[in-house]
Amino acid sequence: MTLSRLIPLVLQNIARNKKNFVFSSVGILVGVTLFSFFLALAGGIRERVLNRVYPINQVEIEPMSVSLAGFKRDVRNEGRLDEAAVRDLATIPGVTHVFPKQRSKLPSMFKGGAAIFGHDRFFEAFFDGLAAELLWDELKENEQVVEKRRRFEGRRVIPCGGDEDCKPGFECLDEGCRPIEYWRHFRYGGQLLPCERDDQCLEGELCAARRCERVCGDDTDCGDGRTCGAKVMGGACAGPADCPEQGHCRDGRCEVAVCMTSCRFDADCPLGSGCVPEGCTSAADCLGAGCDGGHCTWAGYCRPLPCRLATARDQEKDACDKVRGEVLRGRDASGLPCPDGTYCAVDSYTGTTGTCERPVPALLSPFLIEMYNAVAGPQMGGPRIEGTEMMLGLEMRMVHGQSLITRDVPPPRERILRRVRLVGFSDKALDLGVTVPLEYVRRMNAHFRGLEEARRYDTVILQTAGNEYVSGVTLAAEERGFTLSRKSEDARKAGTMLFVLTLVFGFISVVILVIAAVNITHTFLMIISERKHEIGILRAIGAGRTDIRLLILVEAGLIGLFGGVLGNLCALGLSAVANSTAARYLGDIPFRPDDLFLFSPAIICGSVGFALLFCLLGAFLPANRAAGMDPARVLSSP
Amino acid sequence: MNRAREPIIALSGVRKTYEPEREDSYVLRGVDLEIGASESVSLMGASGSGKSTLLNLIGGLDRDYEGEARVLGRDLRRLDDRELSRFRNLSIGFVFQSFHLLPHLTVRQNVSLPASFNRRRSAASVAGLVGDALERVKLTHKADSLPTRLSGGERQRVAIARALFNQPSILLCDEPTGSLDQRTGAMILDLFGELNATAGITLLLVTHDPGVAAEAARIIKLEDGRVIADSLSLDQKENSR
Repeated sequence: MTLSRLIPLVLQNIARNKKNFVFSSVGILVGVTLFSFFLALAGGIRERVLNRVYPINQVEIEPMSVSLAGFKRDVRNEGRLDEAAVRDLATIPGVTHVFPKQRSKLPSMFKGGAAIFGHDRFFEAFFDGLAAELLWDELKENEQVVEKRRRFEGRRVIPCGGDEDCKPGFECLDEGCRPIEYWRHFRYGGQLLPCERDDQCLEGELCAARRCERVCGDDTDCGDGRTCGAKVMGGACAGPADCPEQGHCRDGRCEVAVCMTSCRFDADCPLGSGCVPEGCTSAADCLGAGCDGGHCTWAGYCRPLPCRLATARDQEKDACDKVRGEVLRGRDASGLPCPDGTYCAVDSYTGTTGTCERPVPALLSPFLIEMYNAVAGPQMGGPRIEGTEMMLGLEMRMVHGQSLITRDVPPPRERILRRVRLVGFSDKALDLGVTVPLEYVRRMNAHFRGLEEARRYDTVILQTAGNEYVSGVTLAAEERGFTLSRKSEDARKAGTMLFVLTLVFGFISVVILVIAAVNITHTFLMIISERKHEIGILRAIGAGRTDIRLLILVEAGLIGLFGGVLGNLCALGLSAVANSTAARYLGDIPFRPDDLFLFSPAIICGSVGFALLFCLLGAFLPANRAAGMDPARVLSSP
Repeated sequence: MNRAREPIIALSGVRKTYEPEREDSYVLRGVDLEIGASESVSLMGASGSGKSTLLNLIGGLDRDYEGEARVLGRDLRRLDDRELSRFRNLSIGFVFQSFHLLPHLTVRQNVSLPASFNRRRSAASVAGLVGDALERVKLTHKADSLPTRLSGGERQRVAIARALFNQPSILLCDEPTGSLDQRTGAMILDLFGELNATAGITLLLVTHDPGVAAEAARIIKLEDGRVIADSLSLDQKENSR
């Protein structure tokens, strides 16, 4: 029997028994509606809420600790999160990336926000550091860089020598003005804090002329195209004993070999640096005919440009452009400001001299924006932030050593003001604070709290190849003396709860479908009893057992298809009602997506498939009974 | 009336029971019978004599019997369900006392129902065959009516048209006039006679009415599952004298 002959017969049967058809479909419809609704809800919450708060394929671990009377202490020495531990964690099977994180160990304060709030605001600055290069892919995606480049394609590229040659929103890249790609700016830009002692610097560095320098034996110790050159430390010496371990005494002054970038002209150096002839200590020395008493040659090394502001209070000006100060030539002003894109980063809060530096690039968590829109914004009377794009490039001041909530801060002369510039958004960023490049945080912690503090990471994010690796990676990390961070622990609990709830509602839906299938069995048994003469006559005129079985099964299948499709439409309708109710009553709570449901093709096809399956199972017995009827008997029966 | 000598229905020692465990429960008890092509035969007997059982067996509706039954040269018991269904579809036409029309289908749809189980029939040929069948029973004008709007005689004519749809070799009629009044019944019998005479269809008519049975050229009487009389045998005896 062909489908083209079968379908009209089935449709004719359905048409005369509409009531049975509808009655049988109702159970399936209810079951499929609930099935789709709850699976889509669970999928939506997992994908659009949970996965944003707790990314599903990563775990954050921290050293195992106990909390006693409010003090958290590490309980296992092997749980120390240092560079060696990070390398070890990267070897766990299934781990694709390791993101060490270090929190700032010193109170700081943000000042600024006039561009948003109309006037400056003060916030306690919580921030942490993350390895910048590991976030670039995510930042590029969030910034829709591919789309940005596609839009620019075909346009005329205006030639440029620097960013100042380009119009707002553009930067100078490969000698041409191109739309700013902020993700490129999230990298450590050589920002240094002045040092007094070697333990204020990172591993392998020492403090030379108030700057942390990487000590080297030869060029191979440096990398990044830098070379190993001599730097005069400034201290007088009579012999090697008067100099540090790595240095030696030369012409009455201690010298040490440090990594430096070779150059011939200022243009060879990174932004904010100038080319200083060998043996000279400041950029200003090379702006004339060489430096006094040194060993100047025209080949030199890149050094940060020294600069000066008119007064210490000038540091508080709101925009970088207003604090470019003047580049110094020796002790004299050169009359030139710090290069475009840099500002005069003064060595102390109360001082006026420093070096030209770029602002520290910073990332925000989307959660923070949602929190602001939902809670802080309305309370502060600030405007609602609709798109994050408008915030990119926003600058704020950050004072290390100043706090709104604690008095345990260094004296004002030890405070340092730096500027941060927002260059992106990431779910890995600190929820209530900002995230900056890891090296900056380590330098800051080393500066204020010593090298030992800078060596220890607070947490490490382990990104896995997939969700299925998470439990194995967690176990391996626990074996190494680490434990899940509170956030990851919450994620695990939330994930388990969601799974259990999905299971419960899925089970209820399946029970309803089973009941519907039993109902279909009952209905079809009744139908074939009513139609036994018809079945007999169909057999008499040439229908085989298979034809009769197909007639019943296709009719049941159509009930399943009808119930399945209508059930999904009902689930879609219910989800729209649920979304609008949620929008009305939940307001702007963080992470509330516009659509709480995720109706994936798998859910829709799966639920329709389930409906079909249960209908066919329900009709299987009646179909077999009908096919097995003895036509001779049923035709002669009353 | 023509009587062909080649048997198209040949039964030999056919026995049938619905309760195999009881030896005295046989409905057919060794039926030997031969019916030639284009014959017109009445099967007579009292209720329970095995007439309808014999008809179902010849029509391939019942394969559960003992002995041998060959219809149109085929041993029916050797055919599987698919082959038997095809055999019924193409070679046999059934007409029942209670018509067995599908009430929700029109006359045209009822008549074309056998085409649903025949993959080889095109839509165009189906329309032609329906037209021919309705023409034969003179019901063309009622093609789009529902069976519920027809008289008893008309319904039986629709059932006959359905039986004729695939132009079968054998028409098996089980008490075809049982539900009709005498005048209508006579019209139906005339129709059968015409089909037998003009189309050469072998006609097997089950009835307990001697008047109806007399319409056939050959009368076979059954009693207790056995053939107790066959008018052909009498003729042969007469011929042999």
